[in-house]
Amino acid sequence: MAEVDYGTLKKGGFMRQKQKDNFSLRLAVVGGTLTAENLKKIAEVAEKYGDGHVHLTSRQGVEIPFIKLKDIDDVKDSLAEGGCKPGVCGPRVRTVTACQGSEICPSGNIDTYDIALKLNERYFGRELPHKFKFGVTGCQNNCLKAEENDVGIKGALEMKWKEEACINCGLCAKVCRSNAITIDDGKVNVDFDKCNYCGRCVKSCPTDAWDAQPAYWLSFGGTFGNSISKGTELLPLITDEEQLFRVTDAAIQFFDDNANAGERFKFTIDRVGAEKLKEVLQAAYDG
Amino acid sequence: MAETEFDITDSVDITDVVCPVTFVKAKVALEELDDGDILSIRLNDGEPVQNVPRSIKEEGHQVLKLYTNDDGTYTLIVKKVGD
Repeated sequence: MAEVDYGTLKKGGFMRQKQKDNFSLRLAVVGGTLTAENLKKIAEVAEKYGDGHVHLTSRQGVEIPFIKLKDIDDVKDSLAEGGCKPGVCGPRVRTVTACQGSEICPSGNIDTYDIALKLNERYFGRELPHKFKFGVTGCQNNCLKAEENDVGIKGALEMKWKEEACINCGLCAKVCRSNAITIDDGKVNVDFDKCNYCGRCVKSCPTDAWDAQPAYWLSFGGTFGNSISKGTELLPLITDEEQLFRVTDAAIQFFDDNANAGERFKFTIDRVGAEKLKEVLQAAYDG
Repeated sequence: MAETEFDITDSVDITDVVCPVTFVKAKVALEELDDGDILSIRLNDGEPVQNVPRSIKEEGHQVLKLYTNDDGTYTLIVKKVGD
């Protein structure tokens, strides 16, 4: 048998196991979403080529362990029939994770799955000096833990009070966790210095007395492995999708241009300087 | 129950139940009304007042008013929309 190129296998999502010639195959999953068709095929492959079980990874991935080296091509072909593709490991853009977002969850401010698909389309598998992770969470509840990621995206709502629809019930002021809302003489005032655009005022309103648009908070340099560090916000609220992708393009390019091999984004930021990254991001933010 | 400026058809007190029965009790009371009838709902502070008005709006009914009562409860005035 020809010499096995483990690097190529790993790039294609085949993780070498302890057991000789056995691989755990990582599948490409975007935003934690799989169709029933995908799942049926995964089950079939796990039974036929694996040992009948799958592993759910910490980042919404699926791995099928105990795939034999000799079966790798058959496994790939079989999975492709069910619309499944191998994922990636190693120094490149990894699975984009997402919560269910505004299409499913009552708390969601943004369509996280749509954003995850677009990020995946843009960057998935891109070769970089080290691994690079995106996570998209729909609101401040942060079920998806945005700040664990190299770039985290958190849904917000940019809102404006609609006086004509308001019945002055006072719920918005009551639910606001930042104490940013006061009501004087029937007028709702928002202190935007305190507001974090969490959207609770909009969500609680029983008469839809707010105009609201999806918006995004971004965090940079999160990592939760050997070193643990929470991503930091370096920009004001991002208010449209084009602006969002300008900023993510700039962040990933900054990493590509400045990182040493094997260095996570956080350590590149620390070494090169958060101020320098901020300048680059702000330029992208401003367009 | 608070004095209101509305012509109340029926009243329901949901301060004796907890989420998610709060909303269910209000919903059942609304189901017994006709289109355009007005229901007065007495509800507790905290989760009920934060969630019930919104859930009722999402069912398609019209929230007219929310009064704060002296005893720490609220009175929500809802107009039934649809049969």
